[in-house]
Amino acid sequence: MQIDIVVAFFMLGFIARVLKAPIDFPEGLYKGIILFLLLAIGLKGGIALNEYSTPNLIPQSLAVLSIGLILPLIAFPILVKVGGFGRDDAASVAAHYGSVSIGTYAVAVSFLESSGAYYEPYFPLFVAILEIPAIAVGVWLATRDGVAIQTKKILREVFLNQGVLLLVGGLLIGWWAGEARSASVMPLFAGMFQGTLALFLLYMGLVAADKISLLRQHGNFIASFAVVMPLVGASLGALVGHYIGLSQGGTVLLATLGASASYIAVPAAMAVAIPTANQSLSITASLAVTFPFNVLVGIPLYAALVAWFYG
Amino acid sequence: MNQRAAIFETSSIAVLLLVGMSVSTLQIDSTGVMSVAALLTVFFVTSHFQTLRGLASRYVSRISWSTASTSNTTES
Repeated sequence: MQIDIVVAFFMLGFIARVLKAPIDFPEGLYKGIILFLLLAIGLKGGIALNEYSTPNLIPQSLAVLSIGLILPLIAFPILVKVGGFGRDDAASVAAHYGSVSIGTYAVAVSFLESSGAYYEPYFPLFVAILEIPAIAVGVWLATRDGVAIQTKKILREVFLNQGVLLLVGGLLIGWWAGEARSASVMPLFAGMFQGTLALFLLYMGLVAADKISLLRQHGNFIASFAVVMPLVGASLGALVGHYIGLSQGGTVLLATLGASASYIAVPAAMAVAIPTANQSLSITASLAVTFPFNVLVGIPLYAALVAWFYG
Repeated sequence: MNQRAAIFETSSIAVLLLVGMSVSTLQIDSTGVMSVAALLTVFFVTSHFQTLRGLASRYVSRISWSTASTSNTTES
């Protein structure tokens, strides 16, 4: 099994927590790391946009947007009809699976860069695009029966949440500044990216091991769903990536984005939009199962399958 | 037990096995997928243990009843 060095830190965190080792990872440090990763990914994508923007970008962006709209619509009926979930819980989980995980994306980028594969450098734009539509679909699914919602509060949460704001903010700064003007800050944001990602994954390993115990509480269905849904998302992502003419690396990244589930932007938005939904269900599925599955098994699998497909 | 959920759970294990077998025929490492399939199988068996035991004992008693009735018919 091909495992990137940063993924080894995830395994270290997971094993340490399973062995009940007293590792105290400060919550503030985790929040700082998230902030750093969002800005670094946004900046890198913005600088690339400044240099490589192509006319294909608009149709490509629209196709990527469609993934975020379709995935919650696939997940919702499975959760309601098969899992027996209530409308609110199903809509919340579906929104998580339609959105993306910035951590999983960072691991996929690290995987591609360590194997020297090319991918479209403006990809962070697609990450930002995929953050939002699933939240809107999730809210629509939960409130279809005419339930009153606080539109202003939800819109604020959708567009001004930390994930979207920092990612889009970084993109805009990078796009405006270009490579020359960004040179003074890039030693921090590019040079320290891998090390910071390793720290992030150490923390995620600790959290995933904590959440594993909740799986017993939520039943076996959620574990199966959290493994099957990434395969569905990855297939859709790979198909769209191939259809819109992305490179082999780009298709792997889009498959990974389709397979990932949010645990930063969407939980915050769903807590406001659907307060009656059980947030623990979504977090358990996305953090305890989908994130480890994608990092340990999914990304190498998607990369190998896309490589086979591209010949 | 939610029957639809149980069918979904077994199907997901089958899907993973199918993916694992397909990738190994393409000379791609299938260790990860097969391990996840094994883990889900363990989860499935432990969480539905009582139901599976009930099904197994019903099946065994049906076989023994059918064997007994066949031997009775032969003797008479």
